[in-house]
Amino acid sequence: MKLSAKKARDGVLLVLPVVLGCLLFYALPFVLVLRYSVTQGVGASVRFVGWENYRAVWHNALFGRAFQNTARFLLLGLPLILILSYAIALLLKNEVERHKLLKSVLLFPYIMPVVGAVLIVDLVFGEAGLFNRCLIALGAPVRDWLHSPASFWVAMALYLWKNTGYSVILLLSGLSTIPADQYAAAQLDGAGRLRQFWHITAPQMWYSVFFAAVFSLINAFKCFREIFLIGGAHPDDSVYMLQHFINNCFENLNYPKLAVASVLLGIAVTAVLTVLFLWVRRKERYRE
Amino acid sequence: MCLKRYIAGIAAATILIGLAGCSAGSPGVEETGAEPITIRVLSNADTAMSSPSSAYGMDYEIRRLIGEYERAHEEVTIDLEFLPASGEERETRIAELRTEILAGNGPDVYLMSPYKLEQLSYNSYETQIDGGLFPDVAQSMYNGVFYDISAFYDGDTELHVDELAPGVMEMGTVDGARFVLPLRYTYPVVFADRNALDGAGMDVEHMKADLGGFFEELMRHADTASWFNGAAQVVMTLDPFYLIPQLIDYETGDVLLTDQELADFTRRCWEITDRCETILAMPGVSSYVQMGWFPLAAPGLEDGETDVWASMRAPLCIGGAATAISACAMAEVEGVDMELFPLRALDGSLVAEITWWGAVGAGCEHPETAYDFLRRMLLPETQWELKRPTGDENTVVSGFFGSGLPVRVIGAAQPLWNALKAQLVHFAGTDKAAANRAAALQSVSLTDADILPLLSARVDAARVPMALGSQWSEVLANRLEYEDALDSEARALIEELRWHLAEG
Repeated sequence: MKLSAKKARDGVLLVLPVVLGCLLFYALPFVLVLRYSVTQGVGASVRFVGWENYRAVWHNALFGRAFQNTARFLLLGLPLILILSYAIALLLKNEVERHKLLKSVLLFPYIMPVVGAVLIVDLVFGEAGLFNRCLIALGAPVRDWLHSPASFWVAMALYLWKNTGYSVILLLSGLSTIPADQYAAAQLDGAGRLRQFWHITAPQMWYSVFFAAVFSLINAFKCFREIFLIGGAHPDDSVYMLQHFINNCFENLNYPKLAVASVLLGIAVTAVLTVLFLWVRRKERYRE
Repeated sequence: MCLKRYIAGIAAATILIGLAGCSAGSPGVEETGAEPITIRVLSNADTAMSSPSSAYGMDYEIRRLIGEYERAHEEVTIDLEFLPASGEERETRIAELRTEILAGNGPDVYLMSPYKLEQLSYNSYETQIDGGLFPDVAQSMYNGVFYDISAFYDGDTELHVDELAPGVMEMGTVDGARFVLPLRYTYPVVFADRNALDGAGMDVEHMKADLGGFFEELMRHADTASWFNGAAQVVMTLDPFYLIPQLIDYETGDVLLTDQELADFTRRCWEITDRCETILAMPGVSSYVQMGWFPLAAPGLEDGETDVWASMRAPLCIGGAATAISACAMAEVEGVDMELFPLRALDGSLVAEITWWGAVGAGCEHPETAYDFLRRMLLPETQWELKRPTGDENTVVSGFFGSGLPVRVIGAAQPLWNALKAQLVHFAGTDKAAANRAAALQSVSLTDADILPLLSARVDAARVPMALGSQWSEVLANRLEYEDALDSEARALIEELRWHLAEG
């Protein structure tokens, strides 16, 4: 349906403030970061150095380690959280309408302040925490859960605990848009739960899953706050993330390295999301 | 629909006005030479090696210079900021400054010490290495945080840069470009009683060669506890890395020290302090070390009394290069034939520690004016404290004492000693014994010849202490706690140095 010129103009005017805000607070800073990534110095001393900064960061072993750890965390964490939240959403699909409090309960870990979450982690996994006390009671040797390679799994558990509820809420919203009569018809035709899921639920949930994946990706990066409070600026090798690298470069006043790391991270995330989006759009093409 | 259009229009206009406001220059900073100029100076002078409640040391000189400069240049206003000493206020301000520097709006001039004074309790303070805004000044030079002042400095004929300590001044350059002006420096100096050295059979030339030779002579020939009391000071320093010169190559990003070398060095230092601690536990032995410290810290002289502490005087002690001036005066008063020489590092090189430095910020909009102010820190009147008040209630203790030797070291001995001498009388106050001591010191005259061993020793390298160094001084000072885990601690520190290079 073609819009009239007047309606189009009104639409542009309505979105203009948000667009200008995004340009000012997102696009413009990103352009500045790109500029920092190909220059050295600040202020009046800035000079163009081409790809020199990228070459330096690419050969930086610490950056490589941070990139690997971040990729490992995302490749494990994202599928886990999506599978977990999808399963929980399917189980709770019919209960949520009857028990309004359930959504609040699901969101509780998500809204918990970072410091509160870190305190809980320390209470459970700290040197004198619950886990170690259980191990002592069982006669097993204690472990340093927070400052050893095991800290990766602690961070993963924290991420899943904090963010699964939020993804469940997003997926429940998607599930609620699927007409119930489709399930009824399928049941009449003799389709079991698995076939109903495969032929009715899954095909209509791709955009919701994509939406949940995007937010899960954002929340995965937010996990840095808890890891930072637990492990400091230089935690165990297994949880040294790109944000640690970027943060420490800022503290050491090395802005080019910080900018390059941010650009490379941005490119990687954009590439992943683009592939995901194109794949989801292909899956949803049937609607057209 | 009309209402929506008006609301959208107002919102868009608001954002555009905000954008226009963001592009405006900082208030008070004008672009043309005739307009008023504001120079922002950042310092940590009053939280460095000085009392926080008094104008002492470098903060006096900085304030004096600012007043003079503003009177001489009416169009220039200098805003002086001191970094908060500690706590959340300090952390917040440092984070703000990092952001300002990133945006090119950082301070125009830095006058900084690598140290800060941390308050431990009500009236208890401790000097620590300040790893706040600049955890590694040398690295910051490579990162382009400072303005290249080569054009100004190299053409500054009035500064007579050839009179400045050459090895020390090289610290502020990268590939021939100058970014930092070292202002004060120090290195460990051995003060020893020549007669005691000869009597114990010490090979002085071997002691002068390097740290290893110094330790070996002590272990071989030191026959009493007091030798070690004085020598132990070499490891009770905030940054022990000046004794290990080959630490970092900033060009290649390599750590040149191995964990094994660090552990071996630490064990050798512990051999010395071990003898010191054992001795302190022995009854009847005083740990009093007379030479080298602030002259009035020595016990006073009652009327007609000779120095009753002479028999307990340590034959050797180690102090900063700046204390050589007062140590020479004390030795003359006490009739001690003093041997003084720089304590060289493990490889025989002489490494200086920069205790004060200055720089122009990379984002400075008026670099010429900023340099014009900064260069005054290198003039003789500032370096030699020629304008410090004497003899009245507002007298402040000589700044060089806590701040290190001035880089304009040739010709410094006489004016610095004269400035200190004038203040000693005031600080003796009504205490008769202290006044006697101060009166005895008035008769002493010093010239460069008295500190010739220091002036003739060329500094091979200079370094601004790094915060990581203070971690290792903790290990050096606590053998019992770290002995079993020394190798793993050394590996951890080398790993931290690698992280520091990779992230900085």
